[in-house]
Amino acid sequence: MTAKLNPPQPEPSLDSLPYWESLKAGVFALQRCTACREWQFPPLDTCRHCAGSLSLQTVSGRGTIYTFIINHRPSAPGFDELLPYPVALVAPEEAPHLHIPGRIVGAANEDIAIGRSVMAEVVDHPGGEWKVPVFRIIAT
Amino acid sequence: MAANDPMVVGIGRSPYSRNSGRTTASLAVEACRSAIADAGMDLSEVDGIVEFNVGDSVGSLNVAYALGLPGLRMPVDIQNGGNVVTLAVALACMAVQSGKCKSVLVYRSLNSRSGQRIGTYTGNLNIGGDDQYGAPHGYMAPGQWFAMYCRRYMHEFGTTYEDLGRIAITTRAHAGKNEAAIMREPITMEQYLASRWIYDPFRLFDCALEADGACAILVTSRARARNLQQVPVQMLDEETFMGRHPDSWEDMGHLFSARAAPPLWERTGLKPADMDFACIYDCFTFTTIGVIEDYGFCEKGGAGEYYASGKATYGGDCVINPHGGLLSEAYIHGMNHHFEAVLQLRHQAGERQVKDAKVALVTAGTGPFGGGLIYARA
Ligand SMILES: [Zn+2]
Repeated sequence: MTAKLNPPQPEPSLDSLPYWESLKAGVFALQRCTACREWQFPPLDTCRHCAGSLSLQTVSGRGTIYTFIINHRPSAPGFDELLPYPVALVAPEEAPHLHIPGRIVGAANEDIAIGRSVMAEVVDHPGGEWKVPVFRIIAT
Repeated sequence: MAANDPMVVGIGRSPYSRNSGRTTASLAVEACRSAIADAGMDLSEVDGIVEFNVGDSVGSLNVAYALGLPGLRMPVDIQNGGNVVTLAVALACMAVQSGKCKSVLVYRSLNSRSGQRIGTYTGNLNIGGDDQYGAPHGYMAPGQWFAMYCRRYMHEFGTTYEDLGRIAITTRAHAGKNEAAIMREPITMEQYLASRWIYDPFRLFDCALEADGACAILVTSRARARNLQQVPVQMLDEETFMGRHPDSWEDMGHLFSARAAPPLWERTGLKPADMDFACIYDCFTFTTIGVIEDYGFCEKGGAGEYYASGKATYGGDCVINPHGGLLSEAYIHGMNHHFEAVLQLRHQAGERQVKDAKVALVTAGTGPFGGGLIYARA
């Protein structure tokens, strides 16, 4: 086998850089329009609803599992040792129409279900300087 | 009936394989030449090309050059995947209808098995664009995105693993009568359930059969079609709906098809019961389920029963994917569905001919983006 690979590193654009910088500081924050108050993800330059300006706002990190998969084969380097690993799309409490992708940690795969409550944790991302949000199942 | 109605008059393809040992240019040229020869058209009558790719294919200018087209007037290269197949055909038809072009080739050429393979990597990756949020979690392949949809769909409508299996089994049975299909051995529910997990809820047999090959169709006007050698097949109408990255779609219980189907049925005055067969873009078993339910072949959550009761096969309501689809014929990115639809409507499908086939639905895409069109034997 080849040497152990790191998971993919994000390559932010100018529009997404503030989101990643916020995570790097340990804060999970999402974009919100300063005019119409709509939340957005992924980050954009301006509001897609009203063209207003956007600001990053810290969110509670609470959310629910909208859907999830269990990966039995890797689609990216760095995950061989985690197989089979779960990834969910999480609907944040403040903006449940949005879907944030992230791994579910600390749960047996059988205990993961749609609708379960989760809490985001910002953790170091192996192989670089970035941090990513992962999600832990919590009691409702 | 108008002289400029768009008609498919030729179809062509290369062999479908797991390792072509050829360039996408070579495959595309074979498929296009074959479509032109099938029609019996002179090269000087072909002045447009539409193709789509995801950075894995040969462009229209190179194919026109290699074919020796004397007068290319409309090269269109669409940077997109299986979601644009029916739109690519519609663009060709619009060019013919408007008089912009005399005749237009539509092709897809790819080495999706031996070449650039989805979800494979050899070293560390930096990922920008839409996948920068998922990729750090090991989440960046289309099979993963649509497994997310499938899980949600199962939650909302009670679709089961066995329902997915029924799609795989019936589609494979159809491929058994298609000499061009790569996978022709029948499978049982037991074998389906025992096939290895890829991205749960998807098993191996839920996923398209990555393959090498090219497929092309040739479109011209009703007036020009009169001088050609095949029974023409009319493209009646097409409707596409496009969302962005699959993760951004708010309601995964309804696919693009929930938006694309109603206008198509309304404008054509047709309904699912009028379809003699359908070629449904089946990159995953789940795609077929979501799409036929949205198009109204059965109720939401009813596709498993639709297949179980034999409605999706010969002797039922509507034969779905008589060629074996992307699941069992080959993943030629949905272009092969158009080849099959035209072959069936010309009554040239041999052993797997759908009796008296006159009208068919062909779809493209899944999740938030795709389209559908209707072909009719002229
Ligand atoms: Zn706004």
